[in-house]
Amino acid sequence: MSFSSFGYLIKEGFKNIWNNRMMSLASIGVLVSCLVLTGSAVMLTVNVTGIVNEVEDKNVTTVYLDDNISELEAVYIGKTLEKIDNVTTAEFYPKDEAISAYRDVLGEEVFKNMTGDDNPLPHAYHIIMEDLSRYDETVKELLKVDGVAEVSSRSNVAEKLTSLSTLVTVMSFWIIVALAVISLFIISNTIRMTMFSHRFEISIMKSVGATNAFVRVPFIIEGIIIGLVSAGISIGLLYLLADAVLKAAEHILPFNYTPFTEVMWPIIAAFVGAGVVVGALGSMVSIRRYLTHEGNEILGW
Amino acid sequence: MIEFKNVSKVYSSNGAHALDNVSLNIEKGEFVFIVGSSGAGKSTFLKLIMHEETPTRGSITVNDMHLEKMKRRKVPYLRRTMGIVFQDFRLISKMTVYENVAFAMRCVGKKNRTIKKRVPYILDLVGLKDKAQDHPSELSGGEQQRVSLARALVNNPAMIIADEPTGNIDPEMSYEIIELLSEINKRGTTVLVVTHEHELVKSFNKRVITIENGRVISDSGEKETFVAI
Repeated sequence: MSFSSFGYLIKEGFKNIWNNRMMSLASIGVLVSCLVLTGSAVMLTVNVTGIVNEVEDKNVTTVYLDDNISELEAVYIGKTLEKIDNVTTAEFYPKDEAISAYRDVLGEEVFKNMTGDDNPLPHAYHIIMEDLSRYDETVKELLKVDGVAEVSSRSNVAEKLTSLSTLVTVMSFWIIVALAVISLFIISNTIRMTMFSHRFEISIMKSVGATNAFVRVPFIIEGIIIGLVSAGISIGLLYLLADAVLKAAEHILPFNYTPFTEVMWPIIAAFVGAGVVVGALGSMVSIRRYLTHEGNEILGW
Repeated sequence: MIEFKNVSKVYSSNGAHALDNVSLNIEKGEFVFIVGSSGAGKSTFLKLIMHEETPTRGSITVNDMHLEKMKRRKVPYLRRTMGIVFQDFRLISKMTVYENVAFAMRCVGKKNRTIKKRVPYILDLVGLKDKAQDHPSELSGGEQQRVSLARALVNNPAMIIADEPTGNIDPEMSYEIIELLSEINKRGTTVLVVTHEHELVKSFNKRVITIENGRVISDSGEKETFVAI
C-alpha cells in the first residue's frame, strides 16, 4: 500500500468518526465506563492486597513457652522455632520484659514482688509469619516443638482481610472479562452503523476494484481511534477518582494506600492495548458482511 | 476479450433460468450493444462478466481470466480491467465531480501525484473540465452520466461496461453519451452497452447481440467461423 493511500485511509477513518459522531460518542462513553470500572477493580485489588500485606507484617503471633523453662533453654527453642517453614522471624520476649510491660500499664505496686525467680509469667517468642493464610498449619508445627505451651490466637482482622483480598481479586477478574465482552459488542455495533451509512461507497469501491483490505482499513482505524480516545479519557478520570477516593479512605482507615501513579504505567499500557485490540476486533467482526457480498446486494436493492 | 462457452445460469433462490446455454465471443476493441426486454437475461449476463454471480454451467473468460474458478481475493483485479457505468450513475453526492473521479483512483491505491495529473485529463475528455468543483446534484442527468463515465475510464480499463447508461437521461443526451462511448472505443477500449432502446441502437452501426428468454436470438456481428461451430 502506498504512502498516499495510507494517508488517505487514515483521514477517512477520522472522517467516519466525525460523520457518525453521536454513535462514536456513545461508544466512547460506554467504553470509558468499562475502562474506568476495570481500572477501579484493579486499584481495589492492588490496595486490598497492599493492606493485607501490611497487616500481615504487623501481625505478631505470640508463642508462650512452658513455665519451668530457663532463659538458656528458651534461646535454644527459639532456634528451632525459626527453622519452621513460614516463620519469618522469632524474636525472644523474656519474662522480665513482659512483667515490666505489665507494670508500666498497671502500676508499680501490683507486681512489686514478682521479679526474678518469683516472676509468674513464662518466657515467650514473638513470631511473624510470611503467609497468614497458612496460619493454622504453622501453629500445629509450632505446638509440636518441645517446651512450647501455647500459641496466641490469630487476629480476626487479618483473617477477614485475607478472604476479602481473594474475593476482590476473583470478582475483579470476572468484572473485567464481562466488560471486555460488552466493549467488543459496542464497538462492533458502532462500526456496523458506520458501514451501513457507507454501503453505497463500499459498493462503488468494490466495483472499481478496491481490495477487501483497502475497504476495511478506514473502519479498523475508526475502531482503533475510538479505543484510544476512550483509553485516554478513562486514564484521566481514574487519576482524579483514585486520588479523591484514597484521600477520603486515609481519613477513615490509616493505611499506606497504593496511589494511582504507582500502578499507572501498566494500566495505561493495558488500556491502550485493549483499546487497539477491541477497536480492531470489533470493526473486523462487523465488516465481514459487506465484504462477502457483491454489487447491489451490498445496497440491499 | 469476453468468451462465453455454453453458459447457463439458474438462480437457486427461485429456480429461474436466467441464461440458457449461451455462447458468444467479443473481441478486443469491439463496440457491442446487448439488447433485450427486461428480464431477458441482460443483467445476469453483466453480473457474470463482473463476477457478481458465478455460472451454473459453462465457462467464462474475461480479459484472459477464467471466472468460473476465480478466487474471491482475485476479483478486485478483474474489476480493475473493466470500467462500469450504471443506469443510476452511482455518484457519491457529498463529493465533488473531481473527488468522485479521484475516488476510483484512490480505491486502487494510486499516488496523489498521479491522481492530480490524471483526473483533469479525463474530465477534459468527457467535457466536464469546468464542472470539476460542482456536486453531482448541480448537474444534469447527461452530465452526471459523463462523470460516471469519467470514473469508469480513469483507471484506464481494457473495457467499459455500461448498464442502461441512457435509462435515466433524455434522448438527446442519450445520443451524446453513446457518441462519447464510441469515441472512447476508437481509442482502443472495448465497449459493451446494455440497453433496451432499439431506436438508439439503430442509429449507430454497431454489432448488436439480442438476448430473449436467456438465449442469444440474434447477433449482427457474429463471425462466420463462430456460426460454423
